[in-house]
Amino acid sequence: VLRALHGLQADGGFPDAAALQAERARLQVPGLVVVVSDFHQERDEIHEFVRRVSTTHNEVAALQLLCGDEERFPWDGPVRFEDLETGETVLVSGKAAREGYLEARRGYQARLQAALGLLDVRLDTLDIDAPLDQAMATFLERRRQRLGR
Amino acid sequence: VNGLTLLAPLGLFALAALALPLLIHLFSRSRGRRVLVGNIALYRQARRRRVSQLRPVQWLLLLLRCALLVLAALLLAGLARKGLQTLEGSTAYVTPEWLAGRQAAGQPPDGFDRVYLLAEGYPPVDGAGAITPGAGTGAAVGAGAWPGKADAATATAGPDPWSLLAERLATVNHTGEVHLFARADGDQFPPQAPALGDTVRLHLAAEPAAGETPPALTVRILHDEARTADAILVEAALETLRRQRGVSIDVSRASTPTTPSTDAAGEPDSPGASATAAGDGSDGIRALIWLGDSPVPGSADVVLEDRLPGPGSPVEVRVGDWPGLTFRARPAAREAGLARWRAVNGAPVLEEHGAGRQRRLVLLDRLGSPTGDDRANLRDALVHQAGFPETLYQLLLGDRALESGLSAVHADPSAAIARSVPWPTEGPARPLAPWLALAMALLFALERWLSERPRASRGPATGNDSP
Repeated sequence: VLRALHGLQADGGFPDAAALQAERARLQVPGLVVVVSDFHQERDEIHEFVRRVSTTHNEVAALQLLCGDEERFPWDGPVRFEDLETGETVLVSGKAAREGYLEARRGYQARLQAALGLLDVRLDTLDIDAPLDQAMATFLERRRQRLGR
Repeated sequence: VNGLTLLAPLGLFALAALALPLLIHLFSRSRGRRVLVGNIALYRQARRRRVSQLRPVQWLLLLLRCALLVLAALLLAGLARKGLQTLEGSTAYVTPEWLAGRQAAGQPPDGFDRVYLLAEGYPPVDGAGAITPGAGTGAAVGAGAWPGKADAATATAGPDPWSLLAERLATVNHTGEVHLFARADGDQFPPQAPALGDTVRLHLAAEPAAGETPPALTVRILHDEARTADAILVEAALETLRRQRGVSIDVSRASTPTTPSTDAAGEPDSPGASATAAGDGSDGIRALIWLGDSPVPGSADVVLEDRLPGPGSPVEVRVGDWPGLTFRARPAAREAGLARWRAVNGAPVLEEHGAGRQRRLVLLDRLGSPTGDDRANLRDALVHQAGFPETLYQLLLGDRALESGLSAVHADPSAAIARSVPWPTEGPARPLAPWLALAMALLFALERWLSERPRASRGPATGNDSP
């Protein structure tokens, strides 16, 4: 799995419903669905996908990929943030916007966890600045403890 | 701003400091490092929240900081309140002469918030025209402070109404209208009045009655070569009076066409020409002003009334081109007369002998061309006084003529205003530095409290993005 993930090249946007339909057809048998994403969505597409794959015979593990800058917002002075997918830019004063960003991020994260919790999906975050094997080991350890094994 | 002044206006350059944060903001606005993110909504929301959440506080902080800079600049510029006192509402000042006339007519001034007598101490005048006694209010109604009736002879330079009002305007800040009530006659307008500016509204009583026209004055100035400067000064002073006062003065000057002849002992020669005084029948006053170092009996310089009678052997002075007139100077012993004019050191400068038509005024020293320090003091005391022409006129008229003449001489207010001299408009002021410092301290404390207050007191986040 790790090798497959390592070989992937991310680009473009979130797949549309038609592209995901074929993948969902393969999930009709019981199994573990691992959703790896930053969980930043333009509309509600990721939540909708998780809702569809989260069935009684599937277990869904949500892995949110985050970097340290997203959590700490270490910017000072004028910073021009540019959206990777849409190209939209926002110019802010780093120091002035830090508090507002962190508050917005905490709220976003709380609502994300609540929404996934309603689907009985556990959200785990992985720091992409940390080594991948270490991040995966941490994830598996937390999962093992949760399952009581 | 009305009522406020700046003692050091250059301090306002400190306001340029206000431009610095603005320039820094504008300069850095177009810059900023580029950071790629996966969810721009959070950053957009952070900016929106920042603006909406902090708008009142941040704008208040900005205003406070700008106000602090403005106050600092005003502190450096020496912001002060004009005058030693502030008078609100309309204020009227009346001259003693004007008030005396109004009281006689039973019409005290009214319609003003306050009325002051224009005399030393500025005593207030109530609605009935009565003067409230106060400090320095020695002036009695009807006795002008300007050298007039009472002080005509001694001619001490006292404060005139215009100078008093100019001083009052410079020391007291009037926020309302200022009105000056005076009479349009010679007592009220000094030869050189301080400029009162456009803020003062003049109310002048009616012109004097026709019967109050002052007597015509005919003056002949004779002088020798050594006293030419004095003669020119006297002639100029009388010409100034004639031009500015509008009074009838016929003045001419000649350089000793006829030198009084006396012997060295002061005994007069027999008159070579005994032309008699040919009175012209008018009620005017004729005067001879003799200015010469050559020995006129009894004194060096004399001012003589015409047709001087008396025993003894008069010296006849023929006035060359004065039609048919011969003035006779009576030799007299050098006795002390009544000092009418004194130098600054107290020494008599001009003495008066006799009375009436025998009145003789003896000038004991030169007017101009001083030769030493004492002479310089003397000149300053006489010629350079603003009231010199007026005083000379009063001396020539005499007390009785002055009573009926000068005080009622009509004066043209527009001419008086036109020849008014600049007057320092910046008087004393009350610095506001302590109040500015207090305001700065309060604003600084408020600014510190707003910028350092606990974050918990700020409002909750209101994000609206949903996963």
